[in-house]
Amino acid sequence: MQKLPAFIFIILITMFHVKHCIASEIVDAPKTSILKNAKIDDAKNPQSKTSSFILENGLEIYVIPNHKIPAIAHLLVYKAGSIDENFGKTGLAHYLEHMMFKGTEKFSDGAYSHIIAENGGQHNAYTTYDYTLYFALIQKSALAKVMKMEADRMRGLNFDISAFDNEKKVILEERRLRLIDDPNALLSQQMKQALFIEHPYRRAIIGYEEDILNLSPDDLYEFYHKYYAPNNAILIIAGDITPEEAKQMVEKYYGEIEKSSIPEKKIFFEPKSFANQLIKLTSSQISKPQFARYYIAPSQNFGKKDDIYPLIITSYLLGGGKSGFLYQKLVEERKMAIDISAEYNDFVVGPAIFAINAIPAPDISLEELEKAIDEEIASFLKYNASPEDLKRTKYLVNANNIYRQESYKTLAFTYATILAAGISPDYIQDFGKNISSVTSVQINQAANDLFSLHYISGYLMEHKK
Amino acid sequence: MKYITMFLLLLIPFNIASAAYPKVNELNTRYGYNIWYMEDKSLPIISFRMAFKKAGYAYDKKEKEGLAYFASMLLYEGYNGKNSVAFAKELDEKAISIEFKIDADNFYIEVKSLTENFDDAVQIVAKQLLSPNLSAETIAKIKQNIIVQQELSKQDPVKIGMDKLNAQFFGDNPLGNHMLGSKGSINSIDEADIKDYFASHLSNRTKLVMAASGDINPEKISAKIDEYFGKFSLIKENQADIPDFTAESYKISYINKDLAQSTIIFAFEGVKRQDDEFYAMLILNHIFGGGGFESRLVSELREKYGLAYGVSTGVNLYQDGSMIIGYLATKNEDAEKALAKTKEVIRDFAENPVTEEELALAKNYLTKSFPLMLDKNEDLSEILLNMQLYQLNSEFLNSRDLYINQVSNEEVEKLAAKILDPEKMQIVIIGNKK
Repeated sequence: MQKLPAFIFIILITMFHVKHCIASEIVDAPKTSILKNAKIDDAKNPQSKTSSFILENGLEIYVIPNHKIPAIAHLLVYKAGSIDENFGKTGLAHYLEHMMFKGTEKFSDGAYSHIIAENGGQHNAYTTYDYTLYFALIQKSALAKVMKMEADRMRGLNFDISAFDNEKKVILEERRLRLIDDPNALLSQQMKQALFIEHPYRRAIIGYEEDILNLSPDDLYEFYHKYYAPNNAILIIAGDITPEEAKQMVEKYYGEIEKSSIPEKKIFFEPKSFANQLIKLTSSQISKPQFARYYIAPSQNFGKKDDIYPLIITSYLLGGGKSGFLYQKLVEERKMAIDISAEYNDFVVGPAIFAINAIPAPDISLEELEKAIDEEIASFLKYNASPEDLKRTKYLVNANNIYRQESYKTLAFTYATILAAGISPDYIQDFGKNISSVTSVQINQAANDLFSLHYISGYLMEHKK
Repeated sequence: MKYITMFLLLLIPFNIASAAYPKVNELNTRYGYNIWYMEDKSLPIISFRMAFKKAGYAYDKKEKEGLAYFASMLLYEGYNGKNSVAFAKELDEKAISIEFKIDADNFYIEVKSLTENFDDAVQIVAKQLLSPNLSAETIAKIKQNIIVQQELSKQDPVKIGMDKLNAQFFGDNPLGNHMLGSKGSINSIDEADIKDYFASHLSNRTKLVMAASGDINPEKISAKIDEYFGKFSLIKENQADIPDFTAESYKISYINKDLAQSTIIFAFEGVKRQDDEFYAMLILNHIFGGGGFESRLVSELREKYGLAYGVSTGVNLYQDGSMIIGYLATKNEDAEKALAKTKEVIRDFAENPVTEEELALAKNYLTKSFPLMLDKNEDLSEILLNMQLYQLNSEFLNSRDLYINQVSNEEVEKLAAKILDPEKMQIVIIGNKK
């Protein structure tokens, strides 16, 4: 929405080494029982201090204490995103996210931003395929004010038509900035459109221009009333607060909101595809060709779950920076690329994407690079991860588990991303253990499963004059 | 969808802490090294930073432009006997992160590790600085990489605009050097140039400033610094300062690109970090375009006219000066209108002086937001490093609120009249003029 501190993105990257947050949605809320206090004996498990509870109106709350500085991260996730839009209404979820800052019956346009700024806080929101997240990073003393306003706009949104019309222009500028004038984003979008035949992940979250132009305030209100309710939301409070304090405050501000009937989530399927495709995007902006490759991969809610942890390690071993197999082979040894990396993010409701991105060396064509990548993937499939490879990767994962306890913000966003994808909070607790138990045979199996699937290749090319 | 651009990161004003912080400690090693640090034993993590002063890109000779950046890239290639892949694996095995960065003024090293691997981390850095990987193959690889980065930077309207603006703003002053150099200058760099750079900057303790935060054991860290950095030279070179610069009069440049939006970048000369007016400048920037929805530019251009999604200003700080730099992007047809509105906002500071409410809001934000940003050890070590680079005393963190709160409306107004001078505005527009 507004400027977003880049640290959030960095947090997500460093946590699980994924760069494409394709995000996610929940099919059915995890039915965690009343106050659940996990064990606190393991210092390496930050999440052991996390408590969770559910209000009578269905709002799920997670409290993650961190008393290092007097700050709080307040994150509210609505389990509604762009996949919930109907035909002809793309961009609606994101438009609504913008309008959520335009005032309610009780608070005027801009009041929310103003109060947070006055207290030295940061706030922002973002829309994904599966959910929409609103967050504030504030001093503890401002928490009650922020919670009051956040709770108020869950049901009380009330914007005027001129604000709606003006915001349409702002959103179209955002679309130009982040999609139309950004060739990498545009290529990625076109590749997703080819990768997913049926699944709504094929659409751009920001929407088609034609749809955005036709959206009306009524469209937004309909979506808002349908999905913005306590029983379709998850609240995460992290920082200088105890679960008891949080519970009292949450009951006061969110407790009175009535639950509503949330339409059953549509489950989208994605049929098997049989052909590889090549997407070529030429642009006068491009001064250096680039290559991308997407595969459909399993997620916690889709496909072969046994492959997930092995694939996380595969993404490290294959394309985790300079220690990765592809970098070693194609940059160092064969000198065919300047850079190459692999990315995998399993935090989505629907199918996930396993991506490879590369920049060819000068005088190497995209076709030559692609051929070389395929050769190296084939040799990777014959390669068995050595004990050193596994030890290194697992040590790194466990160290990251300690690093992410430093900031009150880090775990908050991790929880939000996971819970919004309908993944059990135990995921975080068990992550280290699950990674540690992966064997080289499983890695080999998962990599073979993945690379035998159809794929989409993308070429970003200079505009030939 | 998230709005993330690195540009905004660059625009975050440099300002230094407030409220109750851990104590700033100073340790002096037997060999005479000095380190500022903060202790936090809650987690087994250490963040350690080094800066080598006057080693940034503004000190590159014109014909070797890009040399400082070259050196920073070379360090990622390991050290003598460890190539980049072996080096990356060595770091991964111990979950150590070592980053090398430069700006116009200085060269920076950022180290982060678990306590149990901190000795190894410091030892690795020393090996890198004292015996870098200078194989012909590595040098050729870095040349190629930087030339590709130069090409990639030509696809990003913000980078194109920033390059042009820097050149326009600083003219012949070395602050206008291009960090990445040119294809010609990068190709001209040879092993002797790199050796010379390492010898005169990166293993020279007269240039070194250090800071740390986290699970620090002062005795242990002292001993390790002496052990590993003991071989650094003590030769004080008479390095010339960067000459003072004075902003040119009004100039506007157009760069034609086939884009849907025009990106407008503009700048004004700011005051120095050491000047009394520095805090008034932070406040002015906040009111002008640094304060998000509360700023005059956002409320006018985005909220009132829907001209832009992203519009903001920030302070770029140099050792001996600063600039206030602004950014906005709007559809090509609206570029002229958006620029005219921006100029109106600037001129309006004379008509509509800063209100009490604006001043209070800016002060509140600047004082209260800062501690919230300092929750990680690397944030704290960065502040400690910057305090030394800008010669602030160790009590500074507790005085910062006071410095901000002392600023009056008149001071902000006076400064606005002085620096937001439309006659001295420097503008670059990148977009499709048709």
